[in-house]
Amino acid sequence: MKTVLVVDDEYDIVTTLETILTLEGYGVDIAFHGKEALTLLKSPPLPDLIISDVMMPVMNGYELLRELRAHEAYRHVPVILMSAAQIETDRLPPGQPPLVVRKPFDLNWLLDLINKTINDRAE
Amino acid sequence: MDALPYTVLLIGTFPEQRSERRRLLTHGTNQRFLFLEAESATDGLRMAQEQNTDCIVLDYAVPGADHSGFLRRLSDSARMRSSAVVVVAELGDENLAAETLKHGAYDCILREAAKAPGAIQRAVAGAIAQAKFTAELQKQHEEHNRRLGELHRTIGQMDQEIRARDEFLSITAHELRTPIAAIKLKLQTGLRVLKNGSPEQLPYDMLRGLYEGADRQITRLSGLIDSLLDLSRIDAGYFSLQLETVDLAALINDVLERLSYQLSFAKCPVTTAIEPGITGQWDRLRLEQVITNLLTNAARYASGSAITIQAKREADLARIVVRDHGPGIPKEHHQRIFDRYERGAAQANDLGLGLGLYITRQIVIAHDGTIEVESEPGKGAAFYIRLPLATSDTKLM
Repeated sequence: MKTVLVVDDEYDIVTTLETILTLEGYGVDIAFHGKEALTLLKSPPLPDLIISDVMMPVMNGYELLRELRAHEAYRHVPVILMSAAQIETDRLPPGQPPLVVRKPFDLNWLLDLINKTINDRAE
Repeated sequence: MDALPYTVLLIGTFPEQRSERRRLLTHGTNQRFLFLEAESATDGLRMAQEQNTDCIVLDYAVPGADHSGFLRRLSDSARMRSSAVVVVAELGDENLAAETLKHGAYDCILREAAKAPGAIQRAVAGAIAQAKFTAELQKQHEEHNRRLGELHRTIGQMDQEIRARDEFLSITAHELRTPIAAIKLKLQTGLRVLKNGSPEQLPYDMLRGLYEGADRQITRLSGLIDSLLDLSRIDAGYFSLQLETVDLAALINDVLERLSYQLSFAKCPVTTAIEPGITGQWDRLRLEQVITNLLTNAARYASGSAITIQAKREADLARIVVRDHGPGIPKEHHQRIFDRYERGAAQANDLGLGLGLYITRQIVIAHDGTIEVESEPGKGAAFYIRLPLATSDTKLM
């Protein structure tokens, strides 16, 4: 079973994504902000995908991405960033820019993207 | 003919010569004169600098008058005092006349013309009119410059305001998109479940949960829009309070109940120490807004840690303290968190506090109250609100 880590400080978004992703057959972990996400990542296995909001307290999406890229163990995990505002490209860490999804997004489209991203990586 | 006397400074070496000039100037005219006299170039220049004159008549034969720079300095002094120089050069020619004009004299009277009243009278009258005109022009010029300066400042201000408004609009759009995203997600999840699931096994609880969630978000969206309207009202100075008798304990408990879902999700157990019987004349809705804002900030920023709310009466004030045990706020942000944020200020944006604290503070101030934060990194944050129990009549901000 493929797993997804969903990171967002919005209760309704993170729980609804958890619900639908579970229904779609994924294993789902959730975190309220970047720091919590990093804590979860410490316990194996690593998720097949991380989908994270950008604006979050304590540790935001940019910072989380930076941390992920900085760790040998985490940097290969594909990341999708969700954002209600324009991504500030100067705040992204160097390297391959992450996939970005603007909020509000179309759920069906997002599910396809998640599916494709995980499968592409698996190949 | 001007009723006021002309003050004319006569610079000439010989008293008879000056006296003759006086005679020529006053000959056959009703114009009254006040004469000042100087017999050397140096004295003449000094008097020109110190006295108010309408015209200065300089005899070019005065020693030093033809020295380079003298005429220029004399003319400049004259101009500064709204006066003008007429040169009388009995021994001069047209070339000389041209030179004197070049160095700032208004007119130059040569040879025979110097001996008759006509030329000198016309020259002096002309010089005086010219000087007045120049002074007037200068005043207008300064006035125009002043107005231009004001206009530029106003334009600069407006530019700033437009930019701030633009930033505000883009921040607003961002703020509104988040609840909309949640609503859309819930509805689309419901639709997908209905589409993929079998009619006999509809997950009613889940679907109901999705509807409730969407409804909750719409309430929140509506509240956000109200906040944004608040902001524009605050800007325009229309922010007013609807005062009524409010029981503080009841109000706080109402808010706690409404937020219980959110607080438990954020794993923030809440402890209260609320003195009963504190009542004040406050705007109930606005005060709820304030408590809600502080609690949701705590839940957001200090999730997983305890929150305490305390309410006490201090003389004729109600003191409310909302304390969390989260990461705390560094001192350099203490002022900033209450400001309206701009996109440039990354920290405020990231804190996700948005407009809430700004509006909270405006509400507290409108009640003649104060709000302060006490916090250090690692030691949580405590917001202290002090509200007078009675505020003066509906205040306008």
